[in-house]
Amino acid sequence: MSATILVGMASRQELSDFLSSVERRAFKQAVFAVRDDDTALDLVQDAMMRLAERYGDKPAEELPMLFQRILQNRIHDHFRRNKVRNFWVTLWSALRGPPGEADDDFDPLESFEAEEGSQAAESTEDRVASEQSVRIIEEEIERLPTRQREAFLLRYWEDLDVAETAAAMGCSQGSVKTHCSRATHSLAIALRSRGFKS
Amino acid sequence: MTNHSFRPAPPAPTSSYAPPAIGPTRPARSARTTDAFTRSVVRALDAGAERLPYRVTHRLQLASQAALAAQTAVLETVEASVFATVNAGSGARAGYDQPSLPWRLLVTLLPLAAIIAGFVAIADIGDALEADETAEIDEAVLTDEVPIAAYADHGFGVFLKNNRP
Repeated sequence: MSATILVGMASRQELSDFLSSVERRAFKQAVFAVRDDDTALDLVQDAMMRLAERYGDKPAEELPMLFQRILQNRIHDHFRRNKVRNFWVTLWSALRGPPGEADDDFDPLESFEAEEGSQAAESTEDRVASEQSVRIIEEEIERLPTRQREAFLLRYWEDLDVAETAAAMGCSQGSVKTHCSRATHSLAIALRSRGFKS
Repeated sequence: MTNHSFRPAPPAPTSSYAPPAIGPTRPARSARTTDAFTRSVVRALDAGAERLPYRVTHRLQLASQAALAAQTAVLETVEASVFATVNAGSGARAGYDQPSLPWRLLVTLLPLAAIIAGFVAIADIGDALEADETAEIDEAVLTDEVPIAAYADHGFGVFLKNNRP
């Protein structure tokens, strides 16, 4: 009886398959945004838990859009909290004196260096070149404005359509098209300037 | 500066980008991503996602397991509530687990009847008290030496008012 009553809900296997398929990309999306592996893992885990707890009874086909919306909201919440925290930290630092040198040394490539080190054993020329290309592309993705990056990744990497991307981002479909177009244009220029041939 | 290329052929003399194939869990991308440049970027992103360190993939796996456990709890709750609803409906039809109609009527009407009886009793007591007061006034008037018609006379009223102690 339960099978007929609960029809339409995502089964455990469907949710498992979905999470397996999306977890790595979700992590990379979060890393592009927050630039910290541990924070990105926390955000992805929160998003997974919320999806399962709040929308575990939704049909499987709704999971991608719901998950992306939750993840984007989690990332935005993280930045909102940081903004408040940074306000007080800045205020406190201003009272204590000039900030230390370590505060000014943020390196956007730092998160990729550890990854590169873990792959050091496979150091053939092609492998290195491929990894280098991936790293450069990821750097340029990371440098895109937030909304452009979100639109580009959701639309092309997550393969959501325009309507789904708009729903996940909480904006109009026209905005999605604009963000995607600008992101693609900026990315092409940036990669060309770094030696890629389009 | 290294010379990278999105084009698979011909091979560039220097390093060229040839991202590995996407893993088996990744479904075939739909036709809506048609731009060659975008496809190349997406392949690079897929390649980067495939090369995550074990620490990250293990943590992601644990997160997935925790989410699946949470979903199982949600489904069990939903299933239990559905069964409870179904059982309650069938029980009512079969006459099980539900009091009979006379009992339900009795339980519903008894408090209502008690409230109505209370109102009636209050009204009766109020009428009786009012009748007693009227009788006392009538008795006082009838036992007085002054005739009752004198109270209707205007001059007698003035007299009483002026001689009030």
